[in-house]
Amino acid sequence: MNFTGKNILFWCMLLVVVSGCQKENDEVPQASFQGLVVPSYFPPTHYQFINNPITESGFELGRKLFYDKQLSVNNTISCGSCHAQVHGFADHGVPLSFGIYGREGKRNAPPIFNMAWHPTYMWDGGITHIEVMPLAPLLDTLEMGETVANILEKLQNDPSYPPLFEKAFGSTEINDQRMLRAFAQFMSMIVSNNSKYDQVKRGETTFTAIEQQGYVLFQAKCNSCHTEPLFTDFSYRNNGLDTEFADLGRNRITQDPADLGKFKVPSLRNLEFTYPYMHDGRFSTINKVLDHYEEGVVASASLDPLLSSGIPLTDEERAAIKAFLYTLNDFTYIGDQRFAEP
Amino acid sequence: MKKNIFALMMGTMAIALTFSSCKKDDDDEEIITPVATTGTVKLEMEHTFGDEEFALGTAYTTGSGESVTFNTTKYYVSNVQFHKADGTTWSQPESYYLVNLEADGSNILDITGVPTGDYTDVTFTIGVDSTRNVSGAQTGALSIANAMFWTWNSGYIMIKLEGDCPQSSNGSFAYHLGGFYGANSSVNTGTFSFDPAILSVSPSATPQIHMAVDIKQFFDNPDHVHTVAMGSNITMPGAMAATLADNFFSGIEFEHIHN
Repeated sequence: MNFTGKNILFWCMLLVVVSGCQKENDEVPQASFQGLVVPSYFPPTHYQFINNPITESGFELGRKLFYDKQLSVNNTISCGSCHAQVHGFADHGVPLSFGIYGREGKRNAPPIFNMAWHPTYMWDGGITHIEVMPLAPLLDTLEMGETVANILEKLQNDPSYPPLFEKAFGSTEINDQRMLRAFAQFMSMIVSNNSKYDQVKRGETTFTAIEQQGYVLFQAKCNSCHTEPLFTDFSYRNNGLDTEFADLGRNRITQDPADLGKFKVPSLRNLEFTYPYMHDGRFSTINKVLDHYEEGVVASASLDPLLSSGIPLTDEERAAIKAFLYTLNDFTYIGDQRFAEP
Repeated sequence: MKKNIFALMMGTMAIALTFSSCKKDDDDEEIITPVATTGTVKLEMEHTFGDEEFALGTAYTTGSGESVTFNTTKYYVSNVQFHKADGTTWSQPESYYLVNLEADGSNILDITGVPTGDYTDVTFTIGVDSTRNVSGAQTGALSIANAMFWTWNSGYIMIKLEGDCPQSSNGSFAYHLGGFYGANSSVNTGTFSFDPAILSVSPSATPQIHMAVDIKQFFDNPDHVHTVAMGSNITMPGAMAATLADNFFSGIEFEHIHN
């Protein structure tokens, strides 16, 4: 072979054309897909992704399903309807959510973030595995009101889904296990770890004086239930909201009288977006929550012993704790385009 | 250059010869037919109501005088094991079946891959074992699409019985028996002896075990008589659900084997 100038040009052009032809599709992701990145100062996840490793296609299928109104019986409500990204994936500032036909739900929609660390889900902990979590809202007559069989039929009849299932799971078969695993991948990917608190933990910045003061107070007065870095210990406690329980709470699941009126300790991250607060959304502001802890705690057999005297705070202490709580708001994940409606 | 070509030719010939010598002579080849060492067993659940054959949509009278007509009868059979006289046991892997009287034939469990031999007893579970209740989304008989899984309190409905009863406060009954741990587990496991019969498994025959399932015992188990009036809707785990699951289980007996 003679390597003349003309030959070199020809082979170079051929190379360029061939490499161009190797592109399989027109989609060019902005950044390469990283999967779930566990922050170094977080504990290991509870969900172990057995037979369900996070892949870009699994995550994207989960995202599409999350925002798909077809999953409700009258095609009006998607998961995203009550779990709105702008509200930290909680509802739009309402105490109770509205499902199909304007039906009002029973409890405040919790936000979706850091889900893979939770051992149980729902205010009463009735759901014990992330993969079966979506079934509750999907099938509840007050929420999306559908059946698994109907949902699968809708997906099978929607031409956009079989190729996505094939990409994610290797064949065009659409079944509930695959759908639920895709949901688990999407939910697990929504990690909130870029609040100011997180940046301080990573040594990227420091608290102001009042924030630091609030942090010290927090560790003394709140951390035993709202334990860092997830800001919940995932336990079920009665925090003195009621003496009689319209909502039985954890007792509904365990039937243990000691669990009457106990609800899951929620994370204190992202309070700026996820108001109102408590299992029935009765407190619309943090001040009202702190008022409750200061003078509103009422006695019952199952009242948490840590709250028997409430949590009295001076005005200065309250201001400091509020300043600290503000550092738990993560303005990144509420705007993260990866989790947005496609 | 000439040396290289020669070496290349010799090399190619050597390779060709090697491969040709590996070719088997068909006349000398021994044809080995693998000996089949397993067979299939059919486990048939035959439903009765006392002395009568049981069918959906038919009214029956309980011992307490209540009239019950079933629209739905579904339950899990799982973790099938066969035992030999020498004490050895074969456990079926991934052993989960949903008997659903609305699905023809689902009451006949196809159990394949059973090692050849003679068996004296069968063990099975009515319900789903505790591990699989907390293992996330599953397929086949354990798929959520079978409407046998609680969305609000993660776990399987082991037995689902629904129907009408004029003596019920709301005219109907619904028993969704679940719960898989502790004192109020609705999961029951039992061993049933074939004695004096033997289950003979081999590749050439498919023996059929007939189990009698007397639905009347759900109400009339002398240990815990139940009436619809006592409770027409049990859809949560608890002592009542566990008792009724026991009642259901008490109605199961070995009948006979067709070898």
